[in-house]
Amino acid sequence: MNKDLYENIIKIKNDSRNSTDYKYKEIAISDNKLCLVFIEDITSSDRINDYILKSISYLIENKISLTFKNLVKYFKNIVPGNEINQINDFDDLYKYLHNGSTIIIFDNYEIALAVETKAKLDRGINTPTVEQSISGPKDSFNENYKTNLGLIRKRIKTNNLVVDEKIIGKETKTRVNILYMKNIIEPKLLEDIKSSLDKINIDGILDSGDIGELISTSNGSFPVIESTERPDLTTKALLGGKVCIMVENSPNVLLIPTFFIDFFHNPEDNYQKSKNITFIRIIRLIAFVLSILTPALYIAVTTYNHEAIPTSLLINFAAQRANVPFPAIIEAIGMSLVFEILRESDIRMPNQMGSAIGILGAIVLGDAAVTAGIVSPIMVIVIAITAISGLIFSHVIIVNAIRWWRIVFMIFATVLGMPGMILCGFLFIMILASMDSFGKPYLYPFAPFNIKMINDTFVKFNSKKLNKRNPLLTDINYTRKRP
Amino acid sequence: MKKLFLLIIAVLTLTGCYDYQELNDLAIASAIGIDYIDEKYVVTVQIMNLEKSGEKENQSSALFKTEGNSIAEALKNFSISYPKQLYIGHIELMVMGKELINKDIEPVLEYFLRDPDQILEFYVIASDTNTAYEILNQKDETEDFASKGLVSSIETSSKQNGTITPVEFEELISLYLQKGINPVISNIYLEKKEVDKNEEKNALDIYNTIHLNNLLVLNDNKLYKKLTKKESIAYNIINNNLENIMIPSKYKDNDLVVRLTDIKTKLELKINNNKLNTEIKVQATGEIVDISKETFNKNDEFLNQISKIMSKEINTYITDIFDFCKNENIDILGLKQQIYQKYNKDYKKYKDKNIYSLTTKNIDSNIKVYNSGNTYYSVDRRKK
Repeated sequence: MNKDLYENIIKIKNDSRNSTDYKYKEIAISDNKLCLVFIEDITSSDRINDYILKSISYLIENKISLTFKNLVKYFKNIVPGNEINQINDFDDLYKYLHNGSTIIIFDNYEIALAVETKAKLDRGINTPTVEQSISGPKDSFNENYKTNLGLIRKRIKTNNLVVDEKIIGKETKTRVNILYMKNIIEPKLLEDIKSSLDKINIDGILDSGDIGELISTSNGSFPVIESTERPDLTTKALLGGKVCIMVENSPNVLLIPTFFIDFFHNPEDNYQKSKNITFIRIIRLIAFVLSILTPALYIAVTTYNHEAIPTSLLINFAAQRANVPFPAIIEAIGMSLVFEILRESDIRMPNQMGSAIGILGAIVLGDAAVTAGIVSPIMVIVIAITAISGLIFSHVIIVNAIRWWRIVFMIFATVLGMPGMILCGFLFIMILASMDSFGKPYLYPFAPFNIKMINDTFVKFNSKKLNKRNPLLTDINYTRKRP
Repeated sequence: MKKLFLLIIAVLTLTGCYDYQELNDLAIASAIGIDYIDEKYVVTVQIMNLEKSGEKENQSSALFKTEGNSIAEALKNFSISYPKQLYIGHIELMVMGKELINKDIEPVLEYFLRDPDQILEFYVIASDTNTAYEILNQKDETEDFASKGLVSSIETSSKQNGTITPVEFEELISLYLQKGINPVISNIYLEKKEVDKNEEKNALDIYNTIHLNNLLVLNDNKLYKKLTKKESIAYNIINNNLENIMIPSKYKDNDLVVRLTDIKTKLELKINNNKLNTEIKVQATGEIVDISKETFNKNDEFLNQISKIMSKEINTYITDIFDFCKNENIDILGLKQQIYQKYNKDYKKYKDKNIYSLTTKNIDSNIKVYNSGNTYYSVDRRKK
């Protein structure tokens, strides 16, 4: 840094092209001059007042004249404020300035001081909006990564929880934290994740979703990285031997690795009786199958494989389709499209207008289209079953994957009927089985099969029996609970 | 992902949607009747007529008759008279007319067995006095489709009455192909009702009533003989086809009806030193349904007496069907089949012989009448 105060200020002004939110406040204490530099939007004026200005006015009011060296010492040691850092060059200066510190630049001195005066720019801890549950904790992450870290530290109170920070993004300088339990984690997994994070060279990271896509080991539609807004789930993942990636300004935390079966588990599952959970998980599996297969099955059965349904149902289908002008596939794709448009617009619309869309959708989809003879009533039922089954999952990411595969199945059913569906089913399983999440097989514990880990998949055994961690995720600390 | 796209493109471009058929372009048949008239196959198809009138769907059926030199040709000729493509994959009933069953049924079995679209689980019935068209042309007021009524009649009648056997096409084929057994199918016929001239004209609608009665024995591709009621019941008892059956009898000159349940029959043929012996064991429990006048005390002795009477009665039933087989030299009980399965080397020896005249029979009926059923005190007794 320069010795001359004004030259330093001019440099900052030039570098920032006179940005209007950069504020400069020159103060003279007896013979010494100093200047406070801060960015108005991200600093708290209360803190600047309390920490810096009050200390300065104390000097002025009491007419204490300090020598220059003592003045710097005074600021370093006496001024309140939990974080006061010494700055030697402009890189440091900008780093602190942009993080909400107030910089004190002295005249005739190469060292400046950064006093932490960050303003609180986030909402408080709210209830989860996406992953809701009836029982269990109701807190969720927000955009402040310190709060987020705090929510985890609050839950794991040993020094086995390690937080490793990386700065990613040339412009955004986003802090990315890697969290893991040092006594459980498999070292190779950690290495893999760290090295793939190191490879990222990008101008900016705005959300954990950016990182998720960049480090993902699979390009398929099914996600290999789960993201959650719930601290309790994150803690559970950490204790299970997973690595969590927490990104500044993002309320979603990434859990790595993720298995296919993880998407069938809901936050609720941890806090209810295991027998009831088994029932709900089987319902979810059925819903998953229904959501992918129902339209394809309907198409196959009505256009190729008439022999596959009972006679009375066949008559019913035929009667309903009697006056519909389109082939079954056009009908199915059209209705799916309308539903997807409705869903998408319902998500984007402000809440106040959501009900209007609901009413419109119900009338257009449910009644008017049937009365007008454009679609058959059975098609409405098929699409409704599909849609409702698809929405049983709390992860939007898997709902989208299902939607994509549903269309693939529909195409195969249109062209080849039931054999086409079987062909597509093989393809589906092949693709899922060949996927991996950071080297861990995606379909574990089904492929490769491990009977010991079946106890918490589509069924959930009594918690008394869930003693072991997933052997893929830990080498050293296999036992979770001693009997 | 590339592979997936390649596969989708291949599937889309190479297959050409073979076999694509929209459901509403099909004429779905619910029943089929086959006749053989003047050296031509006449096929009667009952089509489900699906008309949507406003909110309510109206389901009715229509009959169409086509003919050709073969069954395939006849079915193909259907398109001449009907705008939609005929779909017979879901038929529930097949009726064989009198001429067909007296000539040769093999072409029918052949055609339906080899048709890949065909579900083979439909009932087959035949008529020895009427054409299939006449049978299917009967209106049934209780059901939307006449065939539905017939199907449920077959099912209930076989359970309650015991004189017919519901034979599905698949079973018929399997019986037809097995060695050493003659298949049977149920008989259906129309009975002419005496029409009172004073009645209104619409009485003509119920001019005929459908009867499902007795079994027809097939031999060498065609009808051989019709069984009597008693023989039909005996056939079903031996083949364990009955859930329960009412057997009428006499107890000290009074009418007696016993319902037999849990009927278990075992028919076993044994060859010892070239001597054939057939053992038939019938086990059943029974309850008295009707006994005219109260001539008994409800005690064990009385029930034993009834049990003995019933056992004797069943013996006569079985003797009847044995005698029938013996006299007509046919094998509907499958004794030759038992030889074929158990004593395969001897099969050739007995193949062309009347096996029922060679074998001795040993009938052991064990009917246990365990209570008096639903009979309460009689009117006679209440008077006192």
